[in-house]
Amino acid sequence: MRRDTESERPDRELAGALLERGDEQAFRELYRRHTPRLFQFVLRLLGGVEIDAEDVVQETWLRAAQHLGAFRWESRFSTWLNGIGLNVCRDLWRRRNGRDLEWSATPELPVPVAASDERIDLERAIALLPAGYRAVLLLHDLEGFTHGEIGERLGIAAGTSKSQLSCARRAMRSMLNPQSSEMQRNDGQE
Amino acid sequence: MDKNELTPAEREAIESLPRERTPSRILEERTVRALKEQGLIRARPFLPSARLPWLAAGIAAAVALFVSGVLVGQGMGSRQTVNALATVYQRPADLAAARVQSTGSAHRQALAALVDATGSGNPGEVQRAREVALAAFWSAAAEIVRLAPDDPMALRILQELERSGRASEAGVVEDTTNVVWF
Repeated sequence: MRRDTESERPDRELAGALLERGDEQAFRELYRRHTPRLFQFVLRLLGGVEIDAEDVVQETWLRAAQHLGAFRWESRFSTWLNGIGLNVCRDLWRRRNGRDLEWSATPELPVPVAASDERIDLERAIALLPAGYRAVLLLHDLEGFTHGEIGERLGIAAGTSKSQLSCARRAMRSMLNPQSSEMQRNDGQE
Repeated sequence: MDKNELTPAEREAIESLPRERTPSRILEERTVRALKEQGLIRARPFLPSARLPWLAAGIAAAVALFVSGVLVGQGMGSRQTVNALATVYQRPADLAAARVQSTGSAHRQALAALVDATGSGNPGEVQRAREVALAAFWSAAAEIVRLAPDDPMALRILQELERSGRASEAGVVEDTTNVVWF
C-alpha cells in the first residue's frame, strides 16, 4: 500500500534525517510506514512463526539503517527493505539447518494436517510448503517478481525458480484439495 | 493453458491474502533500542533550537520566582522571629499589665453589680462582699505604693486604709480570714 500522501514526509526525506542526524522520529515514521508489510512478508516466508518473524524484522531494520547510505533510490524503499528481509530469513534458515534453502525438485512434502476429505485454507497450505517452494511461490505469485528477479535474489538460475514454482503450486493444490489431487495422480498413472 | 498456471480462482485467492500485519508495539521499541545501541539512532536533542529563547525565558522566570520567594520567606521569617523573641522577653510585664486591666475592669463591674443588687440579696453575703472589696482595695493600694513609691495619691489611700483598719484590726483580720479568694 502506497502511503506517501501530501501530509506524510517522503521516505527519502525520512531516510536522510535518519542517516544524517540519527533522527529517532524519522526512523519511527519509516518503521511504522513499512513494517506491517515487511512483517507479513517474512512471517509467511518463515511459515507463520511469529517470534522468528519479529527477530527478522528487527535485524532487517538494523541492516537497512547500516546500509542506508548505499541505497540509490532506484527502486521503492519497501522493495529494498523486503529484499533485506528475505536475506535475513535465508541467514536464519542457514543457521537452523546448516545449509541454504533446498532446491530439490522433489523435496519431502509435509503431511497435510487435515483429513483427506477436508480442505485447509490457503494461508495454512503456504505455511506447510517446504521453505524453498514457499519462498519462490510468495515472491512470484504474491510479490510479483519475475523468475529472473527471483533468481537474482535467491542466487539461483531463473529456470530453477520456474521449476520450483511449478512444484510449489502442485504441492499447494494437493494440500488444498487432496481428493482432486489424488484423482490427477491416478489419471497420470493410467 | 499450462496446468501449473494459477486458475483465476487460485489467483484471486492468493491476491486476497492480507499484505500487511502489524507486529506488537514492543518490537518497535526493541528495534529502536537496538539501533541506538549501534549508534544508528542518536538521542533526541533536548529541545529544538527554535524553542531555545522560550526555554531561557522560562528558566529565568522560574529562577526569579524562586529567589523572590526565598527572599520574601526569609524576610517574613526574620520578622516573625524578632516578634516572637520580643514576646518572650517582654511577656511577664505584658501579661501582668493585661491581667491588671482585665481583672480591674471585672472587679469594678462586679462591685457596680453588687451596688445595684444590694437591696435584693442576702445581707450577710453583701457584707462579706463589701469586706472582700475593702481588703482587695487595701492590698491593691499597698501594691501600687510598691509599684510607684512616690505616687502621693496611692500613698494617701494606703495611709487612710491603714488608719481605719487599725481601729478594727482584729475584726478585719478575722473577717478577711473567712474570705474565699478566687
